[in-house]
Amino acid sequence: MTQLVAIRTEPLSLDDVIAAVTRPDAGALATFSGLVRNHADGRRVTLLEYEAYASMAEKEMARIVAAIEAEIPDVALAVLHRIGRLEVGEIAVVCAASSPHRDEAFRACRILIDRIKETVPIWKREHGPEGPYWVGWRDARCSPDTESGHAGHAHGHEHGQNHRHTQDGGARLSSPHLGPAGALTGQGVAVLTVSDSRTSANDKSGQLARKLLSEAGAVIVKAAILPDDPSQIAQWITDHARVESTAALVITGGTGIAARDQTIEALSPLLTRTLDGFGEAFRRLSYDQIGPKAVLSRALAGVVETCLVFALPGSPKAVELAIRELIIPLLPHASALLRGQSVHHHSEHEHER
Amino acid sequence: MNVEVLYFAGARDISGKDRESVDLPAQVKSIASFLLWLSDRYPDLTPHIPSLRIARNETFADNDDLLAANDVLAVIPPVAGG
Repeated sequence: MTQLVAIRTEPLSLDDVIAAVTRPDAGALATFSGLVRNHADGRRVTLLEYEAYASMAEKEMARIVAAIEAEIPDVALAVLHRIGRLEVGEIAVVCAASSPHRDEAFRACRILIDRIKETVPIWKREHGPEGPYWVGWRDARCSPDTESGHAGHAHGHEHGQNHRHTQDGGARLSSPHLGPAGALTGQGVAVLTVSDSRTSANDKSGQLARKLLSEAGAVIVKAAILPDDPSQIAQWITDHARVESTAALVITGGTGIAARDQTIEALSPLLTRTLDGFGEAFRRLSYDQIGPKAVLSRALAGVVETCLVFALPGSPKAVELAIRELIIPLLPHASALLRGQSVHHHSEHEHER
Repeated sequence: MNVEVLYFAGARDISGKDRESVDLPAQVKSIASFLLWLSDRYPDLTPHIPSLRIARNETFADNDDLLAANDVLAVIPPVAGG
């Protein structure tokens, strides 16, 4: 038995991983082979081009193997992953697990391939009639979310000043030179969706929040979805609020009055300063849209470390209202105040020069 | 602060290079501020930032991890092994 965990450029053989885990005390040996398939999500695939950050990929695979061998006693694991151009039917990955009894071997082999797919820095580019694309990358490039994001970006520059509610809209802009389109330039924002049922595929509010904030120039440094669990939400807020370049956390969902709504319970104890005016202004604006039901939202904002945290309801309408009318106009100035930068003095000096 | 930046897969297509040595501005101290810097340098990467992970010296880093001189920072798009 020899430790065998590697990235290879030449064709793989199951025999190699089997030999690496075969030993006299193991009565069970489970293997897995991953082959190049001729279709993916309805598209025809003719060739897969695998690429790896090889030195890190081997370390990461070794870490996974060591972790599983520690979790499941008496298993031995081996894995080889191929990179380069692979034709349909060729083997991309082989795994083997041996153990005294079959349950552990099956289980360890399954966990091994699952974790490899999850974290090892290997990528594949599909080639087919529809042209090449990196698997997993297209979602970000071609989803309706970012497609409209690009279009909206240009739109925002052109019509930046034609903000809705023109009566006092201009006065709310903290940076009248830039207008809403560039108001958040250089601001890092992390976005959290709180929901027991949403996934990245149907997270409409989270997608909308990211789109609106990026259109305004913010960089979304993190996007996540968590269930309505106060301890997980609180941990996420604590972890992300202390990152110095993250100006704000925008959380959607869990602000209602049902028992499962726990965002406010998670956030309140963490706030060193509460911005009561945010919730008041939000409900005032929301009242114009939905009437008395507006008071059922406990939307809240405040400060954790030097980070602004906004908790918004989970509906896309509410998210749009809060981001457009309050967060975008407020954030640059509020964030500068929290970081002890005097924006006004700074810009006056700029003018003097 | 000088660091080596590696680009893979879709991120490499956008940056147009495998790797580059860069002298980061003084305010870029953490992984999160590095992501901001990256978005500024390659605007087409901006919509992908939430899906990128950064590996610092061959280990996945958290957003609040601090950078050090001569770090190797790898821009890791969503992985797709197997």
